[in-house]
Amino acid sequence: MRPRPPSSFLGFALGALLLAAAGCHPFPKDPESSLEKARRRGALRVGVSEAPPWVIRDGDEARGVEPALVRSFADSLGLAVEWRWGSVEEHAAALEELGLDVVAAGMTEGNPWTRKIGATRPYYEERAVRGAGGRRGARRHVLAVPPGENALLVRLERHLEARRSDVEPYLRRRERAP
Amino acid sequence: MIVRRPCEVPPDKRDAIRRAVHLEWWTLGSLTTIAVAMYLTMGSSQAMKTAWVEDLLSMVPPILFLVSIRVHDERPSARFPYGKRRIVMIAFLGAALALLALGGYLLLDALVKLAMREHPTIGTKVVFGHQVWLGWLMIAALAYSIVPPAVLGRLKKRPAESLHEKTLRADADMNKADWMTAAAAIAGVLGVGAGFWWADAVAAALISADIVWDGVKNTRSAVEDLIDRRPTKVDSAERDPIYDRLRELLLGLDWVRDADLRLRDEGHVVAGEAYVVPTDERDLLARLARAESALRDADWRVCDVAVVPMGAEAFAARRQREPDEAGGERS
Repeated sequence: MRPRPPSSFLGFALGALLLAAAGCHPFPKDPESSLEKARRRGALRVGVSEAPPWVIRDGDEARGVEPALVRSFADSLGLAVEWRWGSVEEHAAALEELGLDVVAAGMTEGNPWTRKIGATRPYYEERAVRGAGGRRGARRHVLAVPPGENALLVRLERHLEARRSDVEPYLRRRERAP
Repeated sequence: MIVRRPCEVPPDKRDAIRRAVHLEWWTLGSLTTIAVAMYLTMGSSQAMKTAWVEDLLSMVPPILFLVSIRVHDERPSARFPYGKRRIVMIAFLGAALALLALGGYLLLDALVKLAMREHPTIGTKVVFGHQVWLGWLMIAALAYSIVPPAVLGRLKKRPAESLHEKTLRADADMNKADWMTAAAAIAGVLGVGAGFWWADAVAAALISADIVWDGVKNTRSAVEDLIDRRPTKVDSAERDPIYDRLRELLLGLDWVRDADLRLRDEGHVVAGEAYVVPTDERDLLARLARAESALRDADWRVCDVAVVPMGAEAFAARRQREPDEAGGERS
């Protein structure tokens, strides 16, 4: 009845498929090559904010659940870690401008920054409500990468998934120690 | 109050209506399952919100169709002397506006994403113990969401033609919009995976421009129908051939010197007046009544067309024709 083949669309779809096929090797890719650049730099730039027990400050060094996870991630890539201390807001802004590669700040899913940054899928679920504050339900802990840097994100999420079982024992050890 | 004679819908058209009602229930059902599939794969992303709004808007035309089909055949009463046929036109307007809103929303959403240089973040999800890139799951969900609207939209076109049902036709356009958006989103996700952050938004913008255009055409058509444009074909602004057929019929009567009609769409049916210039006034009342029933018998869509006698001078003075219309005065 209305012979109107959406040729512009078909062309675009074909083009996208070809591009996807051509760039298939590491899939997905980073639009801004964050992983690539970190490799060339030899170091992962990590924004950290104090949030015990997730992130603990020890001079300029970082300890706690998240720094441990990030350090093992950097090790798996053969990279050093540069800790940068600051507020979550500073880190979120830096991520958007690609000034950081990872942020570890004791963040949980649904925090106000997650729209602006590339939050990972939760690496740990706190089932009981830890501490008061009246927040019910699970608190799902996440790290973050620059928004849309999907190669770095997928790489980090795979690492977090592999280390998932390390988190619980670590927290229990800490509770027992003073 | 003299109420309108109820329009008789022939059995085969009743079947077509039943089929259309089934199709629309299937549409609502499949939209629900698609919404669930989208929800499960998209997580907390903004794309999910867009898909959700799209699903919601896609439900508007089927709902309007089902409501209007329930009401439209009610018998004329003292309170509604013309019956409620025109609810079909209101439903058409609603469906057209939903289509326009969908296109506008998608276009704006895509342009804002481009302007803000928003880089879509697509991580992983664990399915049955395997950690997969969420992009592949999105593509699977989107591929599923292409099938029902593509099939249903195609199936709706035939009953829409045969019933002169413009809401159904607009809904078929909505289905086309749905599956094309999904196809564009697949291209977009693949593009994002290949490292082009703008791929998703550009694909969405291209398709939504097409949807906006369909929405504009349909809305314009619905508004023009409501201001009593002469009847048109279901899918274009062209003159409905029923007009020419009815005029031929009147001109074929031996006591008629000249004749023309003033018609409007009333949803499925047409209504209006037929003006005849009689050769003489002998037996006029009976002749007019016979002419009226002849018109009614000519097509099921002739619901209420009054046949009015008119003097030759007044007839000539008030007559206007479209450029493409054949035949002038009867010789």
